[in-house]
Amino acid sequence: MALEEVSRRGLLATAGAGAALSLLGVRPGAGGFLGQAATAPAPPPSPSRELLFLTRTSFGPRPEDLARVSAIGIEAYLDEQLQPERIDDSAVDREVARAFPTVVRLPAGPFEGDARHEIAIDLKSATLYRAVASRRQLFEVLVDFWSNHFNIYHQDGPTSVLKTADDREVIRRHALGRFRDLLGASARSPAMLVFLDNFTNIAGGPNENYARELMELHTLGVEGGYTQADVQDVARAFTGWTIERRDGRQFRFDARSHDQGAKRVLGVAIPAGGGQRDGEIVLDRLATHPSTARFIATKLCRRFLADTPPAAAVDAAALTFTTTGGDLRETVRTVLHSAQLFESADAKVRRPIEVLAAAVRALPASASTDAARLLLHGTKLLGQAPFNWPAPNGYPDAAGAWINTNGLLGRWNLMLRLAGGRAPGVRIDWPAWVRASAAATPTQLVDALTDRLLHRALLAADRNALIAHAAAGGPGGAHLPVPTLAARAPEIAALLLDSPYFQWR
Amino acid sequence: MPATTRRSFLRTLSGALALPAVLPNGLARMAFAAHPENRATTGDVLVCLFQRGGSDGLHLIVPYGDAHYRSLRPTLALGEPGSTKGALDLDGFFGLHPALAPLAELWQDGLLAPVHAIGSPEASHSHFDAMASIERGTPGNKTQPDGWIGRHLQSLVNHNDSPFRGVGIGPILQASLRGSVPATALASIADFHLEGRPGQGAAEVARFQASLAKLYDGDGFLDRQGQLTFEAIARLAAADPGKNPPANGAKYPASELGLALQQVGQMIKADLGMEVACIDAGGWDTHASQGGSEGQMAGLLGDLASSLQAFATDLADRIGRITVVVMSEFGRRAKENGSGGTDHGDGNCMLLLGGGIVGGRVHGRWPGLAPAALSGPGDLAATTDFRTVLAEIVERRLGNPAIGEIFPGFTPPEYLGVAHA
Repeated sequence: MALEEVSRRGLLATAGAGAALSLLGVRPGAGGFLGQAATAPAPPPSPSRELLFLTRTSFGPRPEDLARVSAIGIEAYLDEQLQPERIDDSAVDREVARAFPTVVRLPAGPFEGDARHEIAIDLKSATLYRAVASRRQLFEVLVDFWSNHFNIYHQDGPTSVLKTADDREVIRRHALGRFRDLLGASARSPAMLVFLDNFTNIAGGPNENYARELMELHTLGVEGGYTQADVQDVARAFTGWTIERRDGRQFRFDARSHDQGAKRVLGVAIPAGGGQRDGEIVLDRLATHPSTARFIATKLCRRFLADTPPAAAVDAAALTFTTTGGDLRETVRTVLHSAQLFESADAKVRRPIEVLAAAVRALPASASTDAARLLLHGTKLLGQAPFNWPAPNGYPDAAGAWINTNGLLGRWNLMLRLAGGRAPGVRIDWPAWVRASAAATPTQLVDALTDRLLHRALLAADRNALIAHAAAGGPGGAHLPVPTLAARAPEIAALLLDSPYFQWR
Repeated sequence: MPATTRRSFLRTLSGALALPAVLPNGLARMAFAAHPENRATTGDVLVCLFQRGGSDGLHLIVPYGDAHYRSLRPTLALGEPGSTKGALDLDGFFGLHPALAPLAELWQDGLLAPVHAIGSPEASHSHFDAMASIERGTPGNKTQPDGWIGRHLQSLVNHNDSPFRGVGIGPILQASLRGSVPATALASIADFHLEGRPGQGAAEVARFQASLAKLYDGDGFLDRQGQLTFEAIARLAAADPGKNPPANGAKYPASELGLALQQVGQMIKADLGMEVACIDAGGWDTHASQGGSEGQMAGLLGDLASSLQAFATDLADRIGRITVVVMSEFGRRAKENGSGGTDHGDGNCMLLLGGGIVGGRVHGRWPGLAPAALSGPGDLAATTDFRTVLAEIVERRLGNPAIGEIFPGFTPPEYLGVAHA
């Protein structure tokens, strides 16, 4: 299963660079000349339970989030986050409507070239802005999850316009609802009908694209127990599921293009003459199939627990999925109740969107909708711009896919830009922050920034390296004026955001 | 032994002696002498270009002479050679798609060899399953943790310790490169360095990098990738591949693929110790509106052909030591569908390019497109295991006889003779 998640181009975390070194008996620890007895470096001090819970269920904690979880407890916080409709997010909604208006209201088309592009940029920007600013953090995480599960590539002709409605009416409407409703809404979504070609799927010349991915990626999983014959009959069942001709923005069932013959799917006979019901029968069957419960549970556990999800957690989530009739809110609750969550510190890495959003949330920045531009640029550079994964399986969610030379270097460069505090939408008043923190020495600056950005203790060697950098040749305990410390703060902040500590989710 | 030198090289980087290997944008990089540890490699440089999405091999290398071709593809079939926008004849039976015209000269020069009806014994109509299977190189064994190229690099003892032995172009490292030999992922040579803050000089950037390196000094997964990144930055700055403009009048298309091949060419010329480069080309999943001589797929083919042609021109002086393999996860259904496209299939063609390739002929056994000859739901049957071709290239062009390690459990049948020994 873990293989599948990264199989497009990814690799697994199992046999990376270090295997070569360790095979050769080299331990690249501190002071490790080959042949000398090098001691294994101690693992970094663990994050607190509250911090771990927050990093897993959000796009990175803001200091006030951590304070709140510590005050009310993890369980109460989870309750709040699982009822996003009760969290007032109106300020963010207003900003989205102001800065990215097509997300809320799409003008009448038709759209060509630039207009299409702007609509797509609005949705990408709103997605990134919400990741940074929304108070419904777990909801935004789940929107990201389901957007990838039902991935639609933004650059497939009309999908650049159609994805906007899919995001609102399919993903956001049902992200914490029932899986069958989400699946059904996706099946009728014009963006999906276009992306996976079902709008051209007609009797006599069936197109298998949607049928196959519906079973492989949306429900059963590739080893979920379907055959090529099932693919062909599912394709026939969905013949005639197309889009309305005028502007392609509505679902339409075209009875004349529907294959009215009998079908057989996963052992279930679908009698002739069923019309549009054929597709609904298939969706019913798929949504309640045990392989689907297992597949969704596995993917959710991979998102929240580990790249290779623990079997017990998957079993529990699949059971909840089945017994609740595919209630996604309860399934997520079960995953987040897993005992394994707190045993999995530093087991998941932040993907590009997550690490960039987390940086903006952690920094003492006044982030505005303008921040979306830099975030979009950054996610493009790092290969994870929203809705930009061309294949229907969505962005991988495993360390091996993202942590490589290109990915790390790109992160390092982008963090320096964010921490500089001069990027549009990410303004930081470092002198004001230094004054407020009461840091007066390089050592205090490092400690204050560590608290602010990481909320966890560093290994002594790492702390010393940062203090040496902040001291710039002088003593770490030297009292320095605010402007001097403020001038050094961006690099210390960047080093913290660049460090392995901040890459963990 | 290689690890010793590699590690000591890392140490100089992370310590106070770190040289300003990294300069801000716009400044000329300091030129280092070529690193003495970069040994000249003995085998060809392998460029593995993967067409993501399932390329329609029947549309690349067109079996216009097959009696069933036209009836299977009433709207997609290409015209006979000699007709307007028809296929370009290769051997009286197969032809090139006309958008591949830039490759015709390479064929005439004996540098290009298609291999038809290639496939995997673990035929899957799933993109992701099929890609994983091919990139692992172990059909039937999904637990193999590494990729076939990774195992090739691991099993070839050549004292090359460059982090550029295996390079993946793009933000995500290709699965075939997975393995114990660390491979470098790189999207842009020009951007592959620490930028520093606006207005910072080289010394300040180097100081920042030295402090950052101390934070990646452990032996965790992230630490190791960080160490590899620092080493790659330094090696790249020293070799400065960006200084090599296209030679011999080569003109790369301004496409992602063109840029990728141009950068691979630059790295080859910079003698970075690169042995394998992996490149992805997307967009081949042509379920609808595939097009015939023109249209969607013709556009992709045009880009592919111009990019490869420019690469062969650019690297003409070294083409005898370069092998390019163009492959995909599966071919497409022989019969076109009702959407003017083709669904997922099985047998496909590979393209091989290079001075050591037995070019100017179409290799492989053609099973034919007669109804009884098709496999599964109506696919071109695969008559040659993809590993048979790769094994021949590995052994004869890359100089690695360890086929049993690279493709465990696979004993290749007699080679097709696609490569000169």
